[in-house]
Amino acid sequence: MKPRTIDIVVTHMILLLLSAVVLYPVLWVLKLALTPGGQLGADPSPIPVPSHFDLSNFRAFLFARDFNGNPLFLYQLGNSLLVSGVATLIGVLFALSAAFAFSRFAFTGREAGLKLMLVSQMFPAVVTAVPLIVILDGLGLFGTTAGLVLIYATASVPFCIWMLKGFFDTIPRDLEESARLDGAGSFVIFWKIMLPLVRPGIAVTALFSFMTAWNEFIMASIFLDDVTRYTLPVTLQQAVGGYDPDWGLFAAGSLLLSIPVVLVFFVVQRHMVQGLTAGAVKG
Amino acid sequence: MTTAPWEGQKAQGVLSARTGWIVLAAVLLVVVLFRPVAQMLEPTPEGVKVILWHSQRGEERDTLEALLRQFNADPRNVGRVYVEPLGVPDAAFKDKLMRNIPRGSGPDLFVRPHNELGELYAEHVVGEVPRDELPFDAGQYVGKLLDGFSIEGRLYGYPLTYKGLFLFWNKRLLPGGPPRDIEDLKRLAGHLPAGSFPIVYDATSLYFHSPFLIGAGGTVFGRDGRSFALFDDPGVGSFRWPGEWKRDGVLPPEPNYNEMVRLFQAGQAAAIICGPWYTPSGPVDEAHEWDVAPLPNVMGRPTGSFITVEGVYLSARSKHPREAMQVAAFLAGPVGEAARLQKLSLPPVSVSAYARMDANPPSDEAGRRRNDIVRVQRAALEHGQVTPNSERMASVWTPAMDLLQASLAGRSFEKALDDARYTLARVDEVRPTNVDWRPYGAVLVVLLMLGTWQLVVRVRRGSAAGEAARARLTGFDTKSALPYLLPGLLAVAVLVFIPLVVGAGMSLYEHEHGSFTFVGFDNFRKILLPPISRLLQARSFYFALGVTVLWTVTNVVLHVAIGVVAALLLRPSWNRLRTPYRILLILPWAIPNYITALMWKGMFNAQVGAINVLLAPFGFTGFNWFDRFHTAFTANLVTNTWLGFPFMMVVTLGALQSIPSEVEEAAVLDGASRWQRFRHVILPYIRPALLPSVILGSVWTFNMFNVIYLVSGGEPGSQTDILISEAYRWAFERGQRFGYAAAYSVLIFLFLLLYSRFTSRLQRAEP
Repeated sequence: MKPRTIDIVVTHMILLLLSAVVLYPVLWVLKLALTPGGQLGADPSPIPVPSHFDLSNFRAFLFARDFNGNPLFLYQLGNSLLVSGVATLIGVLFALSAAFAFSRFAFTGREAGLKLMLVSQMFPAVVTAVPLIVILDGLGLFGTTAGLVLIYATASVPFCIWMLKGFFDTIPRDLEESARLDGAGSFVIFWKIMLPLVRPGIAVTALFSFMTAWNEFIMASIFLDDVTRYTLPVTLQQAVGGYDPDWGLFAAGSLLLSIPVVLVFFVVQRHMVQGLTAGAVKG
Repeated sequence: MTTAPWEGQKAQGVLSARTGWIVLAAVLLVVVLFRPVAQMLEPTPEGVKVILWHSQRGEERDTLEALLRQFNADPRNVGRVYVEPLGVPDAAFKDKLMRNIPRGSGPDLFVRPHNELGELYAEHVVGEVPRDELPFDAGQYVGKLLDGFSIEGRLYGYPLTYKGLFLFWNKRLLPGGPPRDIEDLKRLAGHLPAGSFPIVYDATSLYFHSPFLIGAGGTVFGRDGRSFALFDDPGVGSFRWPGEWKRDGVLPPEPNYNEMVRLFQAGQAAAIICGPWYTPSGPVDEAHEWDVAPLPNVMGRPTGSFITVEGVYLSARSKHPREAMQVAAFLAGPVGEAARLQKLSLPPVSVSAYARMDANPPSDEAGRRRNDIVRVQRAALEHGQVTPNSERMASVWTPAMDLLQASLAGRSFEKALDDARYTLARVDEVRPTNVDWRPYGAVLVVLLMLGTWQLVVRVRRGSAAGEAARARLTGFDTKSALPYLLPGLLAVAVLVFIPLVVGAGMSLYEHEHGSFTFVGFDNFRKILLPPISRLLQARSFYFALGVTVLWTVTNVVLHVAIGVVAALLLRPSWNRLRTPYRILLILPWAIPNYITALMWKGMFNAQVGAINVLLAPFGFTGFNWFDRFHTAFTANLVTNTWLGFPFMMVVTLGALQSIPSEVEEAAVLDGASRWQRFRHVILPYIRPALLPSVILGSVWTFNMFNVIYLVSGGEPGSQTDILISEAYRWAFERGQRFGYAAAYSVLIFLFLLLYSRFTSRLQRAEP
């Protein structure tokens, strides 16, 4: 179908406009990050091209030290990795066999269980926060890294069960049929056949769960009191909370934190949409 | 069989991929373990550790830390006591204190303004300070500073410095010198060039209104220190003045903080009322046209303002009160005082410091200016009032603001005054009476028994059915499912089920001052059945529900519209630039959404935000987006739409691929117009795929806490808060009202449950 000129022009115009709207804030943040002191002065220009090229904001973010001279960025990076990593591990490990059961077994309460997983995803973390904090407080885990890991695992397990079940569902049944005819029990099927085949699904689920924990800031900011135990999002948000926000520091930090996240996202997103929508349709 | 050359290469390739992963894992492990190991290996300094919390930033923080390092390095302290500060964000400070100190954790000392003493005292988190521990004699303190830290004669803090309001005035517009009396300013009205005003200040804030309240002889509390006298004679008359002044042209039409700064810096305000945190810049500074002066007389007498005293508090549960008091005395003593004056221009607290100041006038311009600012604040202190520290003070800000707003808007003053008095009268509500839990307990037991019986019946019925019998034969039935389900179920039971049940249970309790009281359904009654007059105001459940529904609908409509249009435009194969466009347009989805929210908050910033700069030709310079509901809502909406349309776009793109090309070609051959093709061919195909995504998206939007909390922060006055951010605030910002917040959460949960029922019926209806 040969396109008319008007079609080409209108299409590109709209797409260019959308692209500009998408790019503008990102470039503006880049400009802020490269401006020393984070102040754009009394006459900020609307063009998002950096007029200075000063790396002091990046330096301030990466080499921040606390009162005792500890390297804050390194500490907090480690905290984020630790907390997100362990929460993801818990989520995936506990979810694997349950997802297999939901996918392949017929048992009472299967439908209800799936609905429970879905509904618990709708229930946002902030709302379960209050009882969780009271419980953790009773256990003496308030303010500790272990407590935060438990909070993140709360959201992780149901999500992992749901996503992994979707991936298990995509594996054709004939493989098990033939294995069963050969006399294999359910465990052998699970361990030797299903798991290896669903490996990419596990990777995607783990990555998505890791990302959710990595980007979480609200629970962390309520929960943590010690600056050496902060995770990265808390530091970033604190840079611009309060009465004199440091926009330059924030801009530098967001760029540094976003780039790896964005890269990973681009790799993973195709599978994610598949998993989300396929699961929703099949139910 | 010899290995082919490429097989050897493949083996090598696998090896380097593996080494790559191992190296990455090793690096990550090192980073993760860095902090714990470093902290373990750190030698703990000898002596008692005193923890000090503060919320200072920038130069104030640097000065504080320098003083504390000086303390730590002092030979008298080395090996015996050392202090470690921690910066805590201002907004969360009080809540963190309340959470930690009653449990015996938290700081030994904390730096806060004095007006929070009443609340802190009620929560039992502050410890008494004997007067002889003060670094100066009681009589040596300027004005009534110690009163700020006293309750019923007992002292609870060490004053560090104080802040008061004063005038910044324009030398060009007032050639005769600073205004001595408010009448001087009123006379100026109409004699200034167009667009200029005699006085500008934040006229809706009780804090900035305080000079006039005090000048009229008003007080917040009566003689007993408890009953409200704010809206009684003689102070109440002062609330009419802003409205009169605005009508007479003494005040500008929009007297708010940003306008005040903007007009003064542009040289269009003869005088503004502001505090020491502000330094004029822009044209008025470049032309050296400004100076400071004490507040003008009101009703013929000098007046002051509400004074805020910053001080060091002692924790009620400090394990080392002696050492903590040592640190506090140092910080609040002559060394600290001198450092704060020199480096931060903060007013000293001792009379002798002022005598020294007067005896040694500084030679440089900056020093003279600094001393002037200190002197005008002392004047504000001498003739003003230390802001009352009673916890009942927290209730007066909002009704006072409402009354001032009514005065400015020209609404009926009498009615607004009635409303204000009504609000204050409600402060002394009856405390929750202890409700008997036994009937609730009985009902719960009955429900549990019914539920278990139902469960057993269903399991029995399930295991007898055909499919279940078949499943047993193949070994994929309920019994064999159990070991697989167990770990997952256990995790869900512990991590999800228990908190939900505890949360539901908490909604039947009221949490105040650290303890839970059983109140039955009282929380639900308060949420669902508020007094009729409050029904449609911000912070009411129904208002938040309405805002949340509006928020969800507008967002979903915009996301789907933009997403579908973008997907349709990205479809035609003649478009060579498809892939780059697609990758670019997914970017907003990839960026972590809290970063996006903060980014857009910066873009909507009144002073330096990109939006106002772009819209400057339309008069948007200095426009405060978060002053009004519809502009704050728009800011949130723009942010969330930027965030959300890529998801819909990607889903639509996927769905569009499933349309068989023959159907479309047939439509073209039949001569269908583009719109007809869309409606009858494309739409039916993408609807089944779009529907689950729209439902998912609507739930995400309904619960989009980050954008609301970070961009508008619920401003103005909680009007843009959605249900979930309201629940958060009740739990963490309005005094730890956990029971109330839990009830809110239960209602949100029920609402979403109903919504999911409704949408699954919708989904089943789809062919």
